[in-house]
Amino acid sequence: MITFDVVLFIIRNWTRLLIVYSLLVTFSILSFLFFDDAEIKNPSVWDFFISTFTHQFVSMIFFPALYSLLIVDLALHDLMENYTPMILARVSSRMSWYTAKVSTLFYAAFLFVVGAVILWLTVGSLKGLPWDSFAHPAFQYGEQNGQSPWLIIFLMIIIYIGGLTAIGSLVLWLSLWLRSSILTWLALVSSTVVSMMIYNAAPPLIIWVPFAQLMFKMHFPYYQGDPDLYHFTVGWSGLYLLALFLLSVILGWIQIRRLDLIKKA
Amino acid sequence: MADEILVYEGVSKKLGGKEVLKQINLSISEGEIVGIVGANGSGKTTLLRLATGLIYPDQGEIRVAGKPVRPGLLGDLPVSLGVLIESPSFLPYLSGLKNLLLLASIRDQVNESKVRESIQRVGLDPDLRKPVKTYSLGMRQRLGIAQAMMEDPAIYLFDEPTNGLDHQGVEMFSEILTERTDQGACVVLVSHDQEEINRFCDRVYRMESGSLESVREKRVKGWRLLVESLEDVEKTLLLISGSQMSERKNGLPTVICKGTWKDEVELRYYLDQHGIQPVEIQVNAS
Repeated sequence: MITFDVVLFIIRNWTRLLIVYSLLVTFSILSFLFFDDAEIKNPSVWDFFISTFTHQFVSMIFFPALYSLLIVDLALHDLMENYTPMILARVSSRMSWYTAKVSTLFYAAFLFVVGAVILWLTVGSLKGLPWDSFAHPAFQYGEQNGQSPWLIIFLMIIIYIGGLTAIGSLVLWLSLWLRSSILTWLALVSSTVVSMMIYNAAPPLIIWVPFAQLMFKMHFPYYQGDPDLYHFTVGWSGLYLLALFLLSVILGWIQIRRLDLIKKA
Repeated sequence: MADEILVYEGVSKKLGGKEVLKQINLSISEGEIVGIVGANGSGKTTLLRLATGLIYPDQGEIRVAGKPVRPGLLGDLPVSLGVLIESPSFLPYLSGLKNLLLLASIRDQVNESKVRESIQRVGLDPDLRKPVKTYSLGMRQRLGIAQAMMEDPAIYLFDEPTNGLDHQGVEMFSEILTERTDQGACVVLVSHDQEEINRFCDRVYRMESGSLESVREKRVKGWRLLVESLEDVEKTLLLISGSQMSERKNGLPTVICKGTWKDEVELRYYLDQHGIQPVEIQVNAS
């Protein structure tokens, strides 16, 4: 069932995947053209990559909004297209259907993040940046704490994949509750904008904001500019995102338990 | 009496504040085709959706092969269903074969040759590379029927199955129904077309204002029995009320009668129990 749903997702969304990747390509080129991190002298491909990925606009608005565009109608599509009868006639419970959807969220997040990482590294490389240095403050502070640059890159990618999956599970539940892809996506984008406003107005509050958990540059020890954020660590974000994921999945389960899985209720 | 495979017991359902089904009681046995006729929006499709677990009843219970359908999160859904509810919605850019192979991968119960066989059975070419979006309504309907039957389910739920089918397609569908019911499957067929329902179904109900009203209990078929001797004729005339002796056929005494036996096997079994072994049984139109 999981393989079926992943294949279904790719077949249904290949045009959307192309659009999303085209936007990522455009943005990666723009981000290189306007790449200007005053803290880094002679940046490498890795610095360019981590600098963009941890930027507040990218991590709080751009990536969540783009990813959600891919998965916002993951469940609703089955209902609206009258595909659910053919699926439910072949599974033993609604749980199988929903679990497959949640698994697809993970695959979509993996595809999105890995694709974006490859893209950013390629653009950095094509522009002639070197591969052999790690000058970004996140690498420097990490090194002071005995962390290798590879571990930092790995943690950032894991936080991104986990974070997008958690946000995706929230979107999945919300879409079934609102029964509208457009409303769900607008609600999500509005939330990202509110998150950005919180970040600008009261930075210490970001530890409670879902989208801010992806902002690796604010995690301690990679950021040490604000003592109020010393307990905002990768561990904290990992637990926060896990809780968000579990809560969203449970809400989704409650939602579909008695939901009429048809176009019109 | 054959085993009851699908049972609706006191089922009521409200949709959008309107009571769509009211205390529905219906049971369908092995090898039976039950038809439900009614106007659009009368609740026919809702009845089918309930059996698949797409929606749940507000009251009552639905049992499939003795097991209640529990549509809740962890609930048991019947996995031996062949379903064609409303217009089949396939992935538009894939061929018919690829669409069905994808659906078959959910249960992973049948291989490609079985899927191909089902597509051929409904008169389509499994090697047709055209995407489904270019199919006519009739072709999509045929593909929907192939989808429903490819895993040889025990229960078929068909909603307006002949919609868009040409004369040949309707004949093909009729043959498939006979084949499947002969193998013991049961079929629930809903349609707004009374003629279609009468043609295919053993029992017919009308759905009106959320209630089921029996229109015809059993399909009565005409039978011609070719027997060995006049003694057998006599026994048959005494056994089956309304039966009549007819002119000899192939030199054998012949009896014609009417009855609700599902098929030749069922009638032969009935006669055998009464010591009559006909040489040949022919079914006539009712």
